Amino acid sequence: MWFYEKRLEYPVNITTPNAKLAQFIMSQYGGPDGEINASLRYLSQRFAMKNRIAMATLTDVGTEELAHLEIVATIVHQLTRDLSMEEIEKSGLGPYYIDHTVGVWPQAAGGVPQNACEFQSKGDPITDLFEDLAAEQKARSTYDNILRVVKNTPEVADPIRFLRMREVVHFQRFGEALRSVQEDLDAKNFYAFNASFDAPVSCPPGNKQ
Amino acid sequence: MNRNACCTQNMGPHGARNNMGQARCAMPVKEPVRPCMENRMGQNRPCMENHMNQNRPCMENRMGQNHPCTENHMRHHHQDMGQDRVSSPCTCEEDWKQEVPTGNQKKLLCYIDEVSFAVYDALLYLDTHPNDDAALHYFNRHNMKRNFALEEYAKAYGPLNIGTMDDDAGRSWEWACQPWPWEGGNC
Repeated sequence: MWFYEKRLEYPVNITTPNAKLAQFIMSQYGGPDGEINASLRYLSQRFAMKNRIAMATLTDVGTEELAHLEIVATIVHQLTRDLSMEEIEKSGLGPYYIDHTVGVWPQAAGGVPQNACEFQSKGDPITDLFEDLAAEQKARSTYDNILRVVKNTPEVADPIRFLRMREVVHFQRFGEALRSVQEDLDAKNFYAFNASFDAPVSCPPGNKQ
Repeated sequence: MNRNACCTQNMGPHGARNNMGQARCAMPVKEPVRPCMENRMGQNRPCMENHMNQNRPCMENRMGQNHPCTENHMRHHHQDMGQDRVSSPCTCEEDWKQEVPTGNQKKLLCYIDEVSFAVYDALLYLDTHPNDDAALHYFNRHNMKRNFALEEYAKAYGPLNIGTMDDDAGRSWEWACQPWPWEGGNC
């Protein structure tokens, strides 16, 4: 169950609109490595985890990704308010404007709509946690790419740096969660079976069954 | 913050403006009723009756399914709404604390499910009826009950949210150690 908290995880106060930057940053809203896919990935995968450390990590990171989704949306919104028609047309935002005006809609920077095929929920904790580690790195790379473009716009770069930093922290936590799952398995072959399907394990030891 | 402030903020040209290019809600702060709600409030809707007894076929369906929690809850819900209509709301916090069931985890969680649903349903209602006094009292009463119950649950069985986390040094991180809702066996 969730309740909304009426604040951003990190403040966003953009005073100068910039349609070009909005189009780039939008990718972290609905793009392949964007925050909505991150959140859906973790909140979907947690049901097949075999220990509560991994369940807790996926629940809490998945929840924080929703907060990041809101930060990215706020950046896009503030970058697109008060735009003139001339700016919209010149910046290349025209096609987006035709379909969405300046509403926030989940798409990649190149216009590809948000797509659940960008992530997996495999029902295998080892498989899923390795994907999660890669996902955090992919998002971090995307924020690095964005930072190269916005480096001269401090009011945009500041919240982006915060988001990038959280990808690094999440990578660390997922590494620890993966280790906690592996510790309950045969160290000689972590892929011997799907720990959630083939051979149920008791984790934390003694808590179940 | 002034309660009218939300109506007087400048939202920018792509924000809350009408077709004439004027801010929809830009009215003097001194207005007795929120200007943006004026039209709707002027209709003087007996909101709770409408809300609970009509137009909510989904609730009836769910009650028909005999879910124990929902059933109990809806009974309370209707009784409480009735209370609001006939008398000024009670503020006896001690009584509400007494109402929280103790000593049985399932019962306590069931109670939290009930009051939390009442809180959330009232929250949605208040979003569109922000000046409805009966609904405000209803919300406050249930929100307090909910907070008492969440504190009680956290003390006895571990926290259900970060607001009631209070792990002392001698215990482990109960948040991760206690069962997750999809593991089953809860109310």
